[in-house]
Amino acid sequence: MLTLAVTSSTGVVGVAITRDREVLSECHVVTDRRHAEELTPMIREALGFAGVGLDEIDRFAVDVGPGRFTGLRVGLATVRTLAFAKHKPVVGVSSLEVLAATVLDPSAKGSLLSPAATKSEGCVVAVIDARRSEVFQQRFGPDGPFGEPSFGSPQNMARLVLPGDVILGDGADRYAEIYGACDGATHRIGIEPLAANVARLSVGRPAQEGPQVVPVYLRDPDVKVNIKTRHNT
Amino acid sequence: MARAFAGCVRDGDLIVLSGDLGAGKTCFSQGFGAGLGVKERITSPTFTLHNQYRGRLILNHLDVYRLDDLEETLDLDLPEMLETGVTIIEWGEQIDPTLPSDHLTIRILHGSSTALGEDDPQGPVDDDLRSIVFEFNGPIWLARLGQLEAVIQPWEVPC
Repeated sequence: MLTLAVTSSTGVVGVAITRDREVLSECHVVTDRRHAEELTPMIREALGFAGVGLDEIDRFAVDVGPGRFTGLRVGLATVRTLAFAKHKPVVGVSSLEVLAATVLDPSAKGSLLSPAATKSEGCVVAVIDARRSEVFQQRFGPDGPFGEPSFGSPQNMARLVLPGDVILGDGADRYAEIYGACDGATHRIGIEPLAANVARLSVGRPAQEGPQVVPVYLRDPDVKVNIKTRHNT
Repeated sequence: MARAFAGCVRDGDLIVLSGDLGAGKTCFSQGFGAGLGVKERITSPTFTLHNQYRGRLILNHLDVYRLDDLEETLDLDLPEMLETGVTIIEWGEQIDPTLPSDHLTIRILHGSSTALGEDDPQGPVDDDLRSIVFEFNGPIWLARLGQLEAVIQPWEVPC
């Protein structure tokens, strides 16, 4: 099973080509907001490194958020377009889970978040910068995530960290003074979602038709008001 | 005045420009851009929605007049835009529910009446006259009230 996986939910854009659990090629670039310009050439590059043609790809995988609005849309649109053109399915994966997988080795057998793969006894807290002085956060244990991903101010979200936890992600890095002060927890700096982990996490998960894979923004404001009407009143 | 005011802004600032068609919102933005050291000519972003210029800071110049639905503002990705530079949104009051609470609203009104939004019953006497009202929203701007007052003081008229 050849998978082409994309991550674009943070300031890092990445592409990985995997055969089952083996990574054939992987490219990443730190880009502030040039996701659209970077992604397509990178896909070509990753295919080239892997010696694989786009026609050989069996399915696509992409991280669906939560994360940066524009980045997510670039990743989703690109993957959905390729899947549509090649008549192949797509697997969507949570960005927070991809991040957590950096520490909780997803290549471990059985449960994705195998306790054996965690060096510390604790859990992993994945934190992604949500802009506007907020973060997206979710805590993962040996048996999977605790509850749904949530968002809030770093001050409030950091209170959910427990002693023994490993904290990672660009949200924790940005608010390092807050997350660094969590009692008994370890903040690992510079961890980003990797495309190879998007691919690994997608293994064994149900694939969908491209259009069924939708971004998870978490923080959509309620924006159904017609502004022209408002303006006239 | 816009040029002088530009000296007070910093990265991450959001300014909402409000005023009728022809009130001088784009004119204000041009003066503001000049004050930021933008060399290019600043034009109305009504059709492009978003123009970006480089001066002392990056200037994001937006005009949301053309947007029909608040949902469309999501496409602008404001949270990302506000990360770098100073952002000016013409007609920004129309998308108020999607804006962060920290922002400065600048209302440009025809005539010399300082009564907020209230039309002079006689109509505008002198078409060249404008009243400019600064409205401070959120702690970031309130903290700078004194500094801004000092800068715009030369243009101040007794109410």
